[in-house]
Amino acid sequence: MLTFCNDGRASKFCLPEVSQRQKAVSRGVVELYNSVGGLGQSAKVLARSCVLLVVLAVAGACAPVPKDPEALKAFHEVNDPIEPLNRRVFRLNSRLDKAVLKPVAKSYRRNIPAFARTSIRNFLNHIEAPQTFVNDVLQGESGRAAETAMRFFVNTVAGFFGFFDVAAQYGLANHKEDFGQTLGVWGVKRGPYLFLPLLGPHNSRHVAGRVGDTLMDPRTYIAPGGWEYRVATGSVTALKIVDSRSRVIEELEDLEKSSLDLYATIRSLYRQNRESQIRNGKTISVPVPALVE
Amino acid sequence: MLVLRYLRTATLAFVMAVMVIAPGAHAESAKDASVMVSSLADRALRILGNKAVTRTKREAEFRILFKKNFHVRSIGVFVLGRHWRRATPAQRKAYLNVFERFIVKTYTVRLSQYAGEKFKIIKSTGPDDRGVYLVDSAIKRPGKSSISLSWTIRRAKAGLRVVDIVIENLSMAQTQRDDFAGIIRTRGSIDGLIAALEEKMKKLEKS
Repeated sequence: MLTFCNDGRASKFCLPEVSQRQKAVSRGVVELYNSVGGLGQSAKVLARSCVLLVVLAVAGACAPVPKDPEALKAFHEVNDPIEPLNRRVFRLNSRLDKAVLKPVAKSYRRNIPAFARTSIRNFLNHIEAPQTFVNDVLQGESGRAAETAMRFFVNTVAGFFGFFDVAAQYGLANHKEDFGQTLGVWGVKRGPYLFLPLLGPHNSRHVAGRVGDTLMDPRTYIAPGGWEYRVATGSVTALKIVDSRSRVIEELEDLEKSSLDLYATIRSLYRQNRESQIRNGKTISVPVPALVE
Repeated sequence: MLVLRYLRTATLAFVMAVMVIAPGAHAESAKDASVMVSSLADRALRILGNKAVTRTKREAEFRILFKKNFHVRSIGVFVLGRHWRRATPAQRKAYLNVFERFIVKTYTVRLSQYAGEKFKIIKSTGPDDRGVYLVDSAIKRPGKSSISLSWTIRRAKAGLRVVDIVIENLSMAQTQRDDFAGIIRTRGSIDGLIAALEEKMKKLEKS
């Protein structure tokens, strides 16, 4: 059954219902965000700030803006105004991956038994639950927020501090939310594409979200300063990187095999995946090939 | 009077018949799509998982199946996007020729990951206002999370044909379109894309 949202669009394009107050708050944040110059929404803004980058001796960082209207439309759709610079970072990252990360991820998968890797994965998911919870709430997803809270409680108590995902066996599957997704739900545009060293594909909204998540994390303010703490958080981060890389070894190899321009392919996949995450996996209507007999 | 009542009853009966039959006919075509996907996926995964024969033989078999069930020309034109309209007849021909070999290969690579796994149809809908049938399915993998596969189907002259597969919310056609646009941008022309496709095929056939 087709229903419609407030602005008259078919419901499958609607974002989750949010309260009036939340709307007001989010509108404020959106405006604030959109007014912050370089992080702004359009490619144009970044293309302009690119002039600055050139001044900063990163000559050749900006992609030429095409004149043909169709090409221009595609250019805005891809929204990658600093493509040459991004490609350079991408190449550097790929080399780093080949030399260090991939071999480490492979040996991690070879040497650590599957049950241990699952437990590590569970634990890494577990400690991200507070962040997910906060963002569930900010997105107005009360049901999913309750699910996250429930999972955290069950897995802390019955799951031995999160090493066992007991909650999943009771139908409470894990999901992740970050502030970048929340910004997306609030209607912030994705902004220009950025390929970051080590962190990989991003858009400016995702970057702003990372900053937001850090600012909202109490550990940013009250963390003990000692070296033990720093070693612990450092190893958790390292483990997270190795673990997630170890899960896509074959997938990335297949991608290398089946794509002509790996950079463009990853950019496309990132965009599609990010949009789907923001919609919590609900399908959106994607362009479908027309029949050409 | 009697005639009038008779007419009224007849009209009512007609309306009711339409109401009963129409949704049935609708569901029937969505069912056709799901039957087609079910048999296609079943055969594809069996062919790609059959390690008893050589890889060349496997791929040859898959190729026949693929060409029969996918509308390769439509996919090829979509993937080339705006560049299709500007291509010369010779370029179009060269492109479609290499694209057909390329897409069979990419689907082989992608679907081989799931060979031998359990396949299940979840639901099928359509045709929607664009004439598109959607068949949602899942691949269950022991000890791993299941993979969602959404098949996009259109009714061509020759029958139902797949025009895209969306794996975990990632469209194969859209991804390939962006991939090709990227290479056209870096190589500067459609000829550059065709050359890149030929190079890629050589490399893939060798490995």
